[in-house]
Amino acid sequence: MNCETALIKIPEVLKMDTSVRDAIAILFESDRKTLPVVDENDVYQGLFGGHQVLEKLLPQSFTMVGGLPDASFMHDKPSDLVPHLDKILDKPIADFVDRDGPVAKCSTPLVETLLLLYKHRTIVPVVNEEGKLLGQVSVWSVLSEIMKYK
Amino acid sequence: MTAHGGVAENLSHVVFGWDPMTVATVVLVLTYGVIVTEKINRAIVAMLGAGLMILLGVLNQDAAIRGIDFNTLALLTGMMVIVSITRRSGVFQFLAIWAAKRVKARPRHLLWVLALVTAVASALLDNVTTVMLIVPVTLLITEELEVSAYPFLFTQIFASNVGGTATLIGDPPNILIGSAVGLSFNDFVMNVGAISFAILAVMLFLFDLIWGRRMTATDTAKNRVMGFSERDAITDKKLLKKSLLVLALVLFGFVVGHSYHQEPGTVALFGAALLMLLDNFHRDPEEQSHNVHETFGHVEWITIFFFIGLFVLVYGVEHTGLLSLLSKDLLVLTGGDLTITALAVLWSSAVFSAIVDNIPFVATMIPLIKSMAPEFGGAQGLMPLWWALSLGACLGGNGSLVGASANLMVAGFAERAGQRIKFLKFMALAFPLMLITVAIAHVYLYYRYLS
Repeated sequence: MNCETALIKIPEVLKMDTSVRDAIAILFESDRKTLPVVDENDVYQGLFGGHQVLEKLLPQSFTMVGGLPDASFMHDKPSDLVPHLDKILDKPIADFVDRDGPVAKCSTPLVETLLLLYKHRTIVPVVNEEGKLLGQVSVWSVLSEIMKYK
Repeated sequence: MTAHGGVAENLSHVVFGWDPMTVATVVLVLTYGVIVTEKINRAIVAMLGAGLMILLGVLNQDAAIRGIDFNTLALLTGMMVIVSITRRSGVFQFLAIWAAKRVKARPRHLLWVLALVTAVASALLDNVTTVMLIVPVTLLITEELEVSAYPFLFTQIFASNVGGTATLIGDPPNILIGSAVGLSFNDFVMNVGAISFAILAVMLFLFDLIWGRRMTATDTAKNRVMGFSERDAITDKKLLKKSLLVLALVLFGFVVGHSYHQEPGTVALFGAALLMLLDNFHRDPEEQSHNVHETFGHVEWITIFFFIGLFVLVYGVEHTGLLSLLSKDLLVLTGGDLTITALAVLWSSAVFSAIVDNIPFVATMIPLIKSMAPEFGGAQGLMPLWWALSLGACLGGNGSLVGASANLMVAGFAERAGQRIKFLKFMALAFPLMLITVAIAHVYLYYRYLS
């Protein structure tokens, strides 16, 4: 059994030139934490979601490797964070796509798919041999597939 | 370097009957050559070089182990453990924020106080650890102030190396020299402490001329920094108290230990064990194992194994008599004059340390200087040379980005924060400034020990 059995359609796909402002609106509307991003040929490029937005809201000193471990000494109000958000809202999401996330192919074994979901705590996009996005697997799509054999 | 100078016993059975001195020299030069290229991790190269010294028969394994200075290793490891536990309390963030607020977050004054905090911390801890803890806070403060981080990072590189010069534990060259020669914490404070902070004062004046005077920040930006709560930076008050208590005891041990024949390595390692006890005794065994494992994970094993490899390598060439031969050549060049020799050691150490890693250089210079003792009236006569080596190697580290490990650490942080420090741009200013610091040390050495 491989991950193709748990493959589901993706409700929304983001394009590389979508602005951060529009992408946030789509994420809100579709009630998703993260969505796959494709280029003009539908080739999968990575994921974009709330995590990438949060990263840009925080000072870089916290998010870089070896950065500060906690921010308990900062008491910024929401209005203090607006300038950080303003800096990125009109930029294309291409600048912020997470390209290091997990990707599966239809032939990826089911247990390997489970491990990817467990390690990365997000959806796993599924691509074909040319890298084109076919769909995704999620914790729930895999679990519902397993439950059929109960 | 070790208590086993000279060729008292035959430790060599070199393969194919090759000349031990030639083999040792080739292995040393090859090893240092590869280290300089920075293509392969320096710990791997040093260990391979040390292994070759044994496999080719320059040393046997017993001799190689005798060449390792365990006092230095214990001092380094002990301090790394103490710092890795102390940092969890948030004390370093506290210090930087406290200092920033004392000067009302004015960038010009911030440049001075953060440099001072860095210098003092580098004197009491090691300078690599210091910059690792201070630089992220500096990047945050400069980001909030909307000012360039470059002048601050540049200043902190200098402050860490100059501050580290002041004490036995501040910079690896001093740890090597102190351990090999038997110099105490107090010896370093008395002989290079004051001059280090005098040099820092001159540097701060120059940094103020170059950058400080022109630095400004808006009131809104300054208010953001003033809004930081240094008290909230302390994330574990109990741990802070335990850490400061042990740190104070260890520093006290360094100061008085020499009189009671206690080496700094013992003091540091005992302090580390005591702090680990205080940090763990209330935890269940499983949690203790996890916590101790994590603490040991913060020890910089690359540095420790690099030192082990170097000790064996240098003991190998020392044992074959190469270094005493070189010291004789150096004495011929300087005419056996102490003043010329000391100043030659100072300037050559500074220039070499700016170009290559100062640790292998100092490790090689120690037995070389030791073998000059008969020429200068015994061990006591060598003292000006040790201070020249310490000042040259530590201050020389400022000359380029590769001059000291702390510099590379700062550069790494800067790159990750998108504020890359360019090698040549840094060197164009750092090298002349380094020469000024060495010139000050030159005058100091001359009037204090040589005139």
